[in-house]
Amino acid sequence: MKVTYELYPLWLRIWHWSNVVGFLVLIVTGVSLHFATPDAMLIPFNSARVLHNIFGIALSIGWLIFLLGNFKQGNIIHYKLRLKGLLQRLIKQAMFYGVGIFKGDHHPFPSTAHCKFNPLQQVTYLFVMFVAMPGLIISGLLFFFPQVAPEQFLDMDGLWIVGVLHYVIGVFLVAFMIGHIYLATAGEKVTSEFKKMLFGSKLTEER
Amino acid sequence: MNSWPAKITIETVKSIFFQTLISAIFFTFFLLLANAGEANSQQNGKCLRCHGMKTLGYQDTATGNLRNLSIDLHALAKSDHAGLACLDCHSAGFAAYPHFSEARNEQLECLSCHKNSEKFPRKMFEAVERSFTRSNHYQSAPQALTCFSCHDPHTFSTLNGKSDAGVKSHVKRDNDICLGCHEKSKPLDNMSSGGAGDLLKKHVWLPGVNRHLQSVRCVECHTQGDSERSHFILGGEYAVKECVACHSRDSILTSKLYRYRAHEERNKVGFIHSVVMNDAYIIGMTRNQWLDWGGIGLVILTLVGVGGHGLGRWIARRKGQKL
Repeated sequence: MKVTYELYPLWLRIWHWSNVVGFLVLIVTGVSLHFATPDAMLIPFNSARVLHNIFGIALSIGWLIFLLGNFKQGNIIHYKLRLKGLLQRLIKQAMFYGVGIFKGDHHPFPSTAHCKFNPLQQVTYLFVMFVAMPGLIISGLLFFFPQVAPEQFLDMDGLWIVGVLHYVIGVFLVAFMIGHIYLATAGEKVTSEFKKMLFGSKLTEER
Repeated sequence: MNSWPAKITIETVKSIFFQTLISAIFFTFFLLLANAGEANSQQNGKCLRCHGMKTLGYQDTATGNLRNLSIDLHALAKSDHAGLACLDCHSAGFAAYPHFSEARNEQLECLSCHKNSEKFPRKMFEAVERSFTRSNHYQSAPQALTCFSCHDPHTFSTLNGKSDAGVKSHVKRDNDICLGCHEKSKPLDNMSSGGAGDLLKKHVWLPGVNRHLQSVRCVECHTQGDSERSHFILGGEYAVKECVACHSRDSILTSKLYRYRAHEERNKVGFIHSVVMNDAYIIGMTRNQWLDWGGIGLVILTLVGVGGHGLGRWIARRKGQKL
């Protein structure tokens, strides 16, 4: 029996693109806040502060919706990591990006109904969505509730650690975003993956 | 209809007597209670009837200067000393009017109440006294300044637990104490700057000097440590003069100011508004050159990496190989 799956359901696409907008605003305002000087800022300090607060809260709510949607709609299945043979699969995927892609090889792990991600994507997204994002959100929220932050941590001011953690995760996610956008051009065609995330992608499999 | 008993007996007289006696005792008791509660305010009322007038003053015969004797009633009611009777501090000579001339020579000392008192934990005022006697204020002119030079006991109010004003108004209130002397056009004998212009000149090294003076208390840089040690005023040459003292991970403001600000804002403007409008951010607090360069480096490396990879794919495609 043939079954058709939607790899990118509407709720996921709406979350994804709202996340894009949120992240872009947070990057610009975050840079304005972190590297603030009286005369050379992307956005004036006071506007950046308010925007960063608002979009930070919106992104946090979005992440909760993502979490809920994944468990409710079954999308979490794509994040289930098979540890057996993982290293070999990661090397195989890395070899494709490093060598095979220039020779026109086919993708070694095409999307299936059970896993639309290749092994490198799966490991990266798992880390981004379930480690980095909670870290970013918690450290951001702690700045709203500084009284909850530890007074001291490893002989340093607790709030400073929270601030640095927020900055480090933020920078890592900027790097991730650049890589993520670039690798989205490595589909069948340069625009294929963008179209999938805009209009959805149906996959028919024999069951 | 006659309400009197038809026949007055001894028992009736006894009953009326005891009822009257008990009522009188209760009445006296309640009267005493009420009087005790109002004693302070009645006593103060007598004093404030004159001293509450905004124009009350007299010419000091010794100096010829006009001396303001008026007390701000609103500020007094909100001050930490609001519950006290005037005569708790001022000598009995002021109870009579005209005041006894000897009363004018009374020597008031805050520490006569505040020292060795269980009301103030951690021997707070003993620490304040130690700090003050080591301070530049005391060392420069031991007899010139007292507590009253900076703190008006009729208006003084600590910040603890009070959230009816924002950070800036607290900063202004405390800084006004300093500026009361240091901003005078006529310099204090040998202690002060040469007036407002000179004060700004001395702080010109601060970027956005006016914004700093509105947002940070003088004592943050001109003293070391907590509120008790905030009386250990240092000479200008020993004041903190480094941006990184505040704008760094070890900021002297980080813990206290940020946590205080968040708490104050929440009380003042409500939870959601305070979170969205949260302005408790010290520029550069999280700045660290290694982290900054590390972050910029990671982003540049990523851009170079994907740029190089993309260029490689483009060249491979141009060579006619399938992408």
